[in-house]
Amino acid sequence: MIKRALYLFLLAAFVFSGITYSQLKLNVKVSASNLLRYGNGKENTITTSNTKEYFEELGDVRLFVNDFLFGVRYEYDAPIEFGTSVKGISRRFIEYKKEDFTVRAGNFYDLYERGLVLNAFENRGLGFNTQLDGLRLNFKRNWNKVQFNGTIMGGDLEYNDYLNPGRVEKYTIRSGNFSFSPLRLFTIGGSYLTATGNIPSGTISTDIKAELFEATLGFNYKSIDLYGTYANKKTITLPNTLFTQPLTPRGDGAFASLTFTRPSLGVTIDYKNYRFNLTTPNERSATNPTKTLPFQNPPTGVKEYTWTLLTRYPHITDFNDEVGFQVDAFYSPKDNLSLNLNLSLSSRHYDYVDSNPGILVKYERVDRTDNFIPSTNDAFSPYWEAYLEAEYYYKKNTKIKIAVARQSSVLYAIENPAASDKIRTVTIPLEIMHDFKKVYSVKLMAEQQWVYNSARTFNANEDLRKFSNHFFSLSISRSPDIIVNGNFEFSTDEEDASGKKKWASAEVTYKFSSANSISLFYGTERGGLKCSSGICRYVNPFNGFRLTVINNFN
Amino acid sequence: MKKLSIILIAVFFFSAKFTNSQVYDFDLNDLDGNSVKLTQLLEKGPVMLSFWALWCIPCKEEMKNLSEIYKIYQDSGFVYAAVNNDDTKSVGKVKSYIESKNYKFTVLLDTDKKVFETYGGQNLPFSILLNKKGEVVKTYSGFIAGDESKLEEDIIKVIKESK
Repeated sequence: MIKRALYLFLLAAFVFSGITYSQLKLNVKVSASNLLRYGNGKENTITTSNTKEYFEELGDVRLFVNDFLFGVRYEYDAPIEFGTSVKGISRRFIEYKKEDFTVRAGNFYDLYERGLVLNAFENRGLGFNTQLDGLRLNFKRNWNKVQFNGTIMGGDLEYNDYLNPGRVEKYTIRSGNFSFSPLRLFTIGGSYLTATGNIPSGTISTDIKAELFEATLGFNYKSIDLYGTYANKKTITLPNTLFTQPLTPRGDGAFASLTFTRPSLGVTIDYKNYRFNLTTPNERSATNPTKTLPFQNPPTGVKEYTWTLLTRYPHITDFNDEVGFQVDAFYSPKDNLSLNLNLSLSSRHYDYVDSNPGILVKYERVDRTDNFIPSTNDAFSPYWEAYLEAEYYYKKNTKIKIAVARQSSVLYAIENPAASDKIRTVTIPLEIMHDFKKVYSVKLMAEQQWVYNSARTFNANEDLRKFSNHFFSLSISRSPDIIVNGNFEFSTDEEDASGKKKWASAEVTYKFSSANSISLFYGTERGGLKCSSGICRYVNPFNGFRLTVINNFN
Repeated sequence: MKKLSIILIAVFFFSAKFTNSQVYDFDLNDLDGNSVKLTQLLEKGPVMLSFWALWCIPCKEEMKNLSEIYKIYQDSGFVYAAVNNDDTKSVGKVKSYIESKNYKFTVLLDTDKKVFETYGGQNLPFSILLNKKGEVVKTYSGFIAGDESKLEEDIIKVIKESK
């Protein structure tokens, strides 16, 4: 396959690269990057302590020859930290780009609009990868004030379930997307995708056919940006022993965003309404063949935090059934003062009741007319948060950042509402950074968090469901080459998954040139749920050593 | 097939005249939806491309410093373009953030990270300094307070060389 690709590449290069004076005039450039990760230690839980060792080596090389780009990634995992280990070439492509046309054969990722129909990407930290293998053509053209951007593609996707790597879903995808701006004020767009797939569940696999289309509208005038998109999905399952009759449900999703800006002020309001697979609670499953497909990844509509403790209790967005909104505002009343406010609320669309209590569970949906807005009623498993941050620079070389956040989530238990998981937190993080002599910098972070977690059954005492988390970090850096960082965290939680109450670690990073660095980590790290872009994974607590080497050659 | 490949490789390389002035001419939209090509930016002078995201704190520190440097050297032809790598959820917030800070440099959207990956980016912040010909002069990975002095030195050097 690779030889054939090389042959085709050379042949194409021959034909298309300019021949001048009977001699090929070649602009050739090579760039490369390398990432090495090694970890060795223990993963702790309350009852077990397992050895955890991983080794990941990723080398990317890109060769530019005139209008061609040839890329290859060599990967050697022995084993990988998360996901499925690879030993060999895990990415290869040939791309030809000439003026407004781009053609790529091989591996690629793609994003249509805001990802309601297609958002293929890799998050290596969580072991998630929806890389496609096929052919993609893109045409982007500007005629004065008119802009057109169109893509068509076809390819295969082998998706290793990132939470259960042995389970592989296979898809063949054909799709297209366009956006057209006849005037600078307006943009209209659309996407169409058809896929055949195979979704295993235990020993039985279900073949599906899915068809998705999307329509978008954008409006941009001076200080106002308005964007809206609607996607519809139809799935047909082929009969098997699991589903003897074909299922043909339709699902849909909508996302809208309004941005208003003035000098020193910016406000964004996002609205999401995802109904790609509204099902009864007992049918919600990662192996449900009518679920949101792995290459669909719309906006989550919740803030993604960088503070350590604020990432401890993230919201898992359910693209099958979730409605909500988010307001995010930035305001800089002075050059040295910035404020950020974020408010969000999400919930399921409907409440469900067991209409056959006592014998076999039979869930029935309780309809409501205002299902296009989220509810704060516990029966809708609501999640809300409020966040306010202030950042102040004193004499340019001292920065103080402080925030306060309130988060609340409910995971409703229909059979026994008193057993619903309820988590409420109040968090106050603080960061102080001071630079001196234009080379050295000291950063101190102190985060305090007060938690109520109803899932804590310790002694069935309400007070013992309340605990606190405390995180401290000190970083000292010397530009341009050294960062030394120490972290200390402790908790009064009696039931932490690691069975510990204290965690301490240290990390040293040395940059041996502007784009090449080595980092060494040693210590204990608290585990927990980690989320990014709607993808969440439980990461076990770790106690050990890590090495990371990053190289870039351009 | 194998022999033909070898012959093609041989002819290809022996007849080739190699140069090293490759410009990867991307085409990204700015915050107002205008299409911006790298070659358009290079018409003015050397270009610093800084890849960033809203969640990346060192990126924002680097951006604040590069904004100051840009104010000083923009009349000398220096162009600073902050290329945003946030995913779909934050596109609206990017404009909101930039306007609230009153930043005046070019901000481009690379939400699917195509340009970031083409330049070999692995972690944010990640920056590329290009001379007026579009050649990569230097690559920067990470940002430590104090790095701005070195960045400014490199920018002054590349401005001088471009004249």
